[in-house]
Amino acid sequence: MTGSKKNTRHTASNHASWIQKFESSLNGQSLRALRQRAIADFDRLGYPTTADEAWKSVNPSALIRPDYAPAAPATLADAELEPFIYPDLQGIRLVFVNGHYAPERASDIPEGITIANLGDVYDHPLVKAHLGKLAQTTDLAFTALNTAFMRDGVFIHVQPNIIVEAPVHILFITTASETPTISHPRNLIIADENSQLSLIETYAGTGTETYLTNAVTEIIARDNASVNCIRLELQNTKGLHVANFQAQLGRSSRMTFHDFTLGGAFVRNDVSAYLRGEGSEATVNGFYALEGSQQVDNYTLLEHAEPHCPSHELYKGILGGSSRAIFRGKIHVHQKAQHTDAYQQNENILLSDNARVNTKPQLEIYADEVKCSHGATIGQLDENAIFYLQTRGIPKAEARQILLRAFADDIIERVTIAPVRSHLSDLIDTRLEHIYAKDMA
Amino acid sequence: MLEIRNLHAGVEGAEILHGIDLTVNTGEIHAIMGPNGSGKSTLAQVLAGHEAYSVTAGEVIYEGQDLLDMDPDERAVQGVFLAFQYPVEIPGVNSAYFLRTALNAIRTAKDREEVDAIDFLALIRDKLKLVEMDEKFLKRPVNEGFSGGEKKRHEILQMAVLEPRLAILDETDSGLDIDALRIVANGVNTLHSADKATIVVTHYQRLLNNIVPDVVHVMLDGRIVQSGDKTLAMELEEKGYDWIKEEHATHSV
Repeated sequence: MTGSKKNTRHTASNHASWIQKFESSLNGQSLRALRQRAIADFDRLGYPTTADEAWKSVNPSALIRPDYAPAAPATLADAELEPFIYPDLQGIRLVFVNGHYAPERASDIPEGITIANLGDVYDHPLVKAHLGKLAQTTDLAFTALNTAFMRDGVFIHVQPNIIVEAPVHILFITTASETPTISHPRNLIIADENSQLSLIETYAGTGTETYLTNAVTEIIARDNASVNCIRLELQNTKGLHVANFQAQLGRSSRMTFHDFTLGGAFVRNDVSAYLRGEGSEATVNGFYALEGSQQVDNYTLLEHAEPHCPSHELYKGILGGSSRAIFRGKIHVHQKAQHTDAYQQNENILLSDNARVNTKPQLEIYADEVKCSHGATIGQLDENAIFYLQTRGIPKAEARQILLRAFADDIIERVTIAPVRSHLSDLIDTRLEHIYAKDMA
Repeated sequence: MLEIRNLHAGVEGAEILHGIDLTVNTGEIHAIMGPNGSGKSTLAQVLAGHEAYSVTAGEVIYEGQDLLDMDPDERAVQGVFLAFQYPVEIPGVNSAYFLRTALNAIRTAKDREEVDAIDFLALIRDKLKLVEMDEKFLKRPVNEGFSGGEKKRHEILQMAVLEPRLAILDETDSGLDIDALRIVANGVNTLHSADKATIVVTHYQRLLNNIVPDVVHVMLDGRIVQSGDKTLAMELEEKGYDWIKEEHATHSV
C-alpha cells in the first residue's frame, strides 16, 4: 500500500516551491520552520487512504483533488453573511472569507482580551510558543497541510482572572467559485488561569460548487480556566470539510465543546481533549443530521493523563437518504489517572433503509480505579410512541417531528448561550423537517 | 354512539377477534371483562387504530361515521380516547409540552383557537387536582421513570385535558394500589357525563366497585359471550371465569 501511495504523491521539491510561492504572498510573515516541518511531514504521510487506521471506515478520496486552487479573497454581501449570524447575540465577531480575514466585518474588541487575526500576529510570543504544539503534524496529513499553508484565523489570549462575558463568534465562509478551492483556517486560543471564554465557530459555504475547508483549532485552557465552545458546520451540499479541534486542559479547568454537523458532502471531524491537569473536566458533545449521500466521520479522543478528571461525551445523529455516519470514540486513561470518570455514548436514528452508521468505542485503560462507561444505539423511531401521540390527536408527521426534535433537544439544550441555542433550534427544526419530508416522499 | 358489528381483527394473519357485536349508547358505562388472552386489549387497540392490527371483517360506526376509516389522530379529534394499559415512554418530551400539543392539535383540527402557555397552565392546574398530581409532574418526560400508578393517573389527566366523548380504559386498574385505584376511579366518574360514553376494559371486578357500569360484557376467545348488568360482574368475582367458560362450551356444542 505504501508503494502505491508514494506513486501518487507530489515530490518534496514540488512542495518546497509551493511553500516559497506561498511565503512570498505573506509579505514577510512566515513561521518558516513550522511550515517546513509540516510539509516534510505531509510529504512523508501523503494523502490518507483507507489503509490508514484513522481513515479505515470511510474513503477519503473524495477529499483529494489535484485541482484545488487557494481560495481567493472576496467581499461578502450583507445578505450572504446574514443567515449565519445571531441577531440577538451581544458578542465579538470576526469574519473570514475564503480563508482571508475580513477586517471590515469585525466588531469592536473589549478590554482584557487579545483577539486578532492570526495572520497578523505570527510574531506574537504566545503564537510562537504554542502554535502547532497541540495539533501535531507528524501523523495527520490534513493538519500538516493546514500548518504548511495556514494563513488567517483567530488568535485569542484571555489574561488571568478575566471573564469575557461576550461570546466570540468566528465565521469562516467560502463563497461561490467556478473551480474547486481550498482554505486552511487556523485558530489558537489561550485562556489563562481563572479566565473564562465562550467561542462559537461557524463554517459555511454560500456557493453551490465543491471546495475544501481544512480547519485546525488549538485551545489551551490553563489552571481553573473555563472554555465553552460551540461549532456549527453548515457547508454547502458539495462542500468538503476537515476539522481538527484540539484542547488541552490544565488543573481544575473546564472545557465544553458542542458540535453541530448539518451541512457538507463529506465531513471529517477530529476532536481531542487532553486532560493534563488534575481535576479538569471535559464535555464533548455532537449532533449530526444527514440526508442524501452526506458522510460524516467523527473521530474523538479523550485523553485522561491526570487523576480525578471527569469526561462526558454524547454524540447523537439522525440519518436519512443514503447518508452515512461514523463515530469512533477513544478514551485513553493513563496509569496515573486514578479516579477517572469517563462516560461515552453514541445514539443514532435511521430514517431510511439506505442510511448507515458505524460506531466504535475504544477504551484503553491503564489505571485501576476508574469509572468508564460507553454505549451505542442505532435504531428507528419508536412506532409505539408515534401511535401513542397519534391517539392524542397529533398527526403522524407531527408526531415523528416531535420525537426527532426530542432526540436532538438532548444536545441542543446543553448549549448555554441562549441566542445561539434558539437559532440552532430553528435551524435544526427546518433541517429535520427537510430530511423527514425527503424520506417520506 | 358506538356500534361494533361482526368485528373480526387480528395481527400478522392470526385472527384474535372472531366477530364482536357491541352497542354503546350515549351516557352509558360499559365494562368488558374477561381472562387474559380473551382479546380485550386487542379490541381496545383496534378501536384506537393501532396499525399492527388488521380488521378483516365487520364495521365500527362511531357517531354515524366509519371509525375504521379514520387515522388514529382523526379518531382522537372526533372524541375517541384510549387510556393505555401500558402507556408509552417518550424520552425528551415533557408532560406539559405533550399535553398542550395534543390539546392544540385537536383544537386546530376543529378550527378552534390554540391555547397559549399561560391559559394552558391555568387549565392544567385544575385538571391536576382531579388526579391528585403535583405541578412538578408536568416537567417530567412523558411516562419516563413514572411508577405504575403515576402512569395510570397521567392517562386520566390526559383524558381530563382532551375531554373525549368516548373513553376506552384498557386495564387502567391493573397494577394499582388502593389509593391510586380510588383516584383513577374518581377521575373517570367525574369525567363521565350524560353526553359521553365510557368503556372500561378490566380483568378484575374490583374497579367496578368504584365505577358502576350500566352493562357488563364477558369476552372469551375473541367473542362477547355474555352481557348483563353489574350483577354479572359480581357473579364473575364470586365464581371466577371457569364457570362462564364451561357455560360457553356447553352453549356452543
